[in-house]
Amino acid sequence: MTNQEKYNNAFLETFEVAEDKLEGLKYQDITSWDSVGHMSLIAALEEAFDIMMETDDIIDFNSYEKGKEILAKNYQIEV
Amino acid sequence: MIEINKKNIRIWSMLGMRRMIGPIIKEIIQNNNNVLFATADLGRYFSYEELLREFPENVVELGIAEQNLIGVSAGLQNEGFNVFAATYATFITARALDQIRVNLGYMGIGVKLIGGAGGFCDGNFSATHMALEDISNTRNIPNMVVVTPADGMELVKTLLFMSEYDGPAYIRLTGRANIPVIYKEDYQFKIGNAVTLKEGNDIAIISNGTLLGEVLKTADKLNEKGVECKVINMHTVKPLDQHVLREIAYYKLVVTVEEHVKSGGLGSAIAEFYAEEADRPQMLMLSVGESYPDAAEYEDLLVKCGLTKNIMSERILAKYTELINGGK
Repeated sequence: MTNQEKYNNAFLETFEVAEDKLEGLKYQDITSWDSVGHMSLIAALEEAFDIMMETDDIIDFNSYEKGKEILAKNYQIEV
Repeated sequence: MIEINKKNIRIWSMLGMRRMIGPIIKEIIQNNNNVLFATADLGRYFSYEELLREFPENVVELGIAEQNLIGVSAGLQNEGFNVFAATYATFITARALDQIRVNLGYMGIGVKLIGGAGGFCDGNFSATHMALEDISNTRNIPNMVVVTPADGMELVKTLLFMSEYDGPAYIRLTGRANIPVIYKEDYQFKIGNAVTLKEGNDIAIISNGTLLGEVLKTADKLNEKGVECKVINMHTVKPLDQHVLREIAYYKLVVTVEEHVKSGGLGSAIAEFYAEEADRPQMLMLSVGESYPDAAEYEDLLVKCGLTKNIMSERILAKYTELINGGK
């Protein structure tokens, strides 16, 4: 599975949204992306990429795009 | 069905105890529609949004009226429901203490109290929101079971147990977000059965709640100095695990550590037990002390009260050294 696929799958499985909704998706745009959903997403990404995210990154991660930036910058994962 | 796996353990750790309550109780209700969640205007504090959306009939909102929370919860419990009544630990165990005493203690009605922000974790709102006497207040009431889970997994196990238990209970939540993970997927929890987290033959340290994470680091620091510590999670303060307490009675020093005032909490409960035993160890009771600190961030309050690995290890080592050198 490519990194893009792993990344998207984490969103799709956590939030049960259609893939075409991912671009531009932000925290609290949908009811399932609340604080609890956010932690589920983080845990899914950590499992997918075998990483442990820092608290600051978890807090900063507020959109589909921002998440990609954070993974690339702080975890050397290009999506 | 609550899935206990590595991913969920990580989620629970990140969420912290209070944000787990809504999601976990929702899962419990999916299998047991008899369970109700009642709160005093703190539903969002306990992340109850999805619970409210999916099971609105199982949520009872009483507004900022903690005494009424207990009265209504007791009435519902009497009608055959199993009620988890949740609000701030300090409000539920102090403001509503008479209602708890009469309905739960005297009448034995099995409401399960959930006290959010046990200890200092909302101490930035000042002493009015610090729950420093809640264990003392609740364990003194006949018929109450009192539990302080150490991490997300233990909280889940506690809630599952309580969803099937008939009697009254108090569940103290501690820590904020990103609480330590103490247990893995295979943890077997039983009310009243303390758990040894670390073995050691010199000193026994007993604690509970999220402070156990710091206690384990304290034990590691003492180990570096050649003092081996047994660390015990006494998650159930009432009833105490008397078997474990008798097993460690021969230790040179038994230390209790709690995010609670010295009077009436875990340390006091254990001291009361040993007072009537022929074999009893010397005790050192570490706590927040006997005063209300000014409002501050959680971590700063723990430092101020000496509940950090550096200060605790120094105090414990000093006491232990005094004892082995023949001091009393």
